[in-house]
Amino acid sequence: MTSGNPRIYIPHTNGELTQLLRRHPDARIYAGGTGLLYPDGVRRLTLPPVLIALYGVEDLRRIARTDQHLDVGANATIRAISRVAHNVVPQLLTDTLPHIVPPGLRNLATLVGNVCTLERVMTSVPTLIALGAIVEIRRAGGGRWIPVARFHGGSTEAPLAPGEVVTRLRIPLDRYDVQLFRKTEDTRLTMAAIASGSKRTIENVRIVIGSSAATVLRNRELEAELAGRKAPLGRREINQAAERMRFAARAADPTFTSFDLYRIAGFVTTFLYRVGR
Amino acid sequence: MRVRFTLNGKETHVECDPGDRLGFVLREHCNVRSLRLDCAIGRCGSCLVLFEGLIVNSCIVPMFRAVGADIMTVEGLYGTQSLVDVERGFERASFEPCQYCACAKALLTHAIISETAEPRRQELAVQAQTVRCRCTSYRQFVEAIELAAEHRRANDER
Ligand SMILES: Cc1cc2nc3c(=O)[nH]c(=O)nc-3n(C[C@H](O)[C@H](O)[C@H](O)COP(=O)(O)OP(=O)(O)OC[C@H]3O[C@@H](n4cnc5c(N)ncnc54)[C@H](O)[C@@H]3O)c2cc1C
Ligand code: FES
Ligand code: FES
Repeated sequence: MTSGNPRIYIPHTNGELTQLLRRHPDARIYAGGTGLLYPDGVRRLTLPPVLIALYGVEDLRRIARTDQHLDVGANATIRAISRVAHNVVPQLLTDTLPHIVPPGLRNLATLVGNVCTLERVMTSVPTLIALGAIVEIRRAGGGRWIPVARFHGGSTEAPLAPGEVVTRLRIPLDRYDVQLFRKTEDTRLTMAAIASGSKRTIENVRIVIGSSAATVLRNRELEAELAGRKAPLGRREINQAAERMRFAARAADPTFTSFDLYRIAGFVTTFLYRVGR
Repeated sequence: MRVRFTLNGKETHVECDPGDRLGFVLREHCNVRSLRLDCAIGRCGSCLVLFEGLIVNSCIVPMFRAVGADIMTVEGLYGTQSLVDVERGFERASFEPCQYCACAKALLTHAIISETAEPRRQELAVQAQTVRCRCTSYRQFVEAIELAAEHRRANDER
């Protein structure tokens, strides 16, 4: 990091952006800058040696909706998304957006910047994984789509190769019967869950727990077992599911405290209790 | 680097580092006394400015981003009906913020009521927390914003 003579590039098109990244594969991307720049005393913020800012690319601010999904450009701010999101996106995302950054940063911070921060599991991540969101990654001469889960799924492989940039986030606009989001006051846990079904049968359940220690927890075995069961679930079934999630959490991340495990089990209980009721 | 921007309607230029905080530069180079750098990590809202018409914590904005930007602080509202609307709202709600946060709260109120003629209470409850305060109730601030909005509407209809 340097505040000496940083090189700052401000492209105006996606083409310029990917060409710049080809020439400077190790450049850091600046979206809203609220997670990238750290204080260097009261006077300045530390800038990386080479920085490519996205705010000049009009296309990356775009938020577009079809019947199936919402496409969010990499430079669309949390505030801009909140404005269009109301009554459009699944309630889970509407409930998550106000918790991502303090209000004075919402006109700067982006949702894609939140996903691309890899040091810990950021607030939007469990929600976006539960909703099955995917991101578009571009580089000079090509592109690909990958699930958000790949960014925070515990894979040792870095989701972005040098010279790559995320340009879009795609959020499916599926309907769910039950959606629940919780961020604990101490910010140690962010939890998101969805369920859908028909004729009193559970068809689809996703429960995603994110911890400040960069763990994303999902118990797919449990989710598969819950699918196909009659709703509402009985108290015993709910308690068993909550216990299994608690055990899975303990096994996945030894930094979970007993209070964290208690809160995870509580979240699962509250969520499953609502299914079918 | 030399950065040109518009401050409260006036062309301004300063010599600074690209990583200098906008809030710091406004205070130290442009003599803007209405904003403060308190937490300096983007959390408290005492450094609030209108950046391209949007509320932003200026301590987290590096100067390279301010090139060509339109920036407004509460000084830009002095002597305007817009500030009178805000003051009337505060008076009618008997809302008296301290010297420390009054400017940030006035600018925030102006921004909210300029954007939405009839802001919804639920949204205001969140927006009011842009400026951190432990000494007055957010509920009273929300009421002050609503009354300022009412004043603005009455003025606009005249
Ligand atoms: C006071 C304060 C409170 C905060 N509270 C929270 C919180 O409660 N929860 C939370 O989740 N976060 C929080 N944050 C962190 C941060 O504000 C958010 O993660 C925000 O969403 C980041 O978005 P941004 O646009 O500012 O990203 P940036 O700061 O611009 O970038 C963040 C990281 O992502 C990379 N990046 C950004 N865009 C792209 C892209 N398109 N392609 C590839 N890489 C990219 C950057 O290089 C950088 O490494 C907080 C920050 C502050 C200052
Ligand atoms: S000083 Fe900028 S938010 Fe606190
Ligand atoms: S900080 Fe000024 S009234 Fe609370």
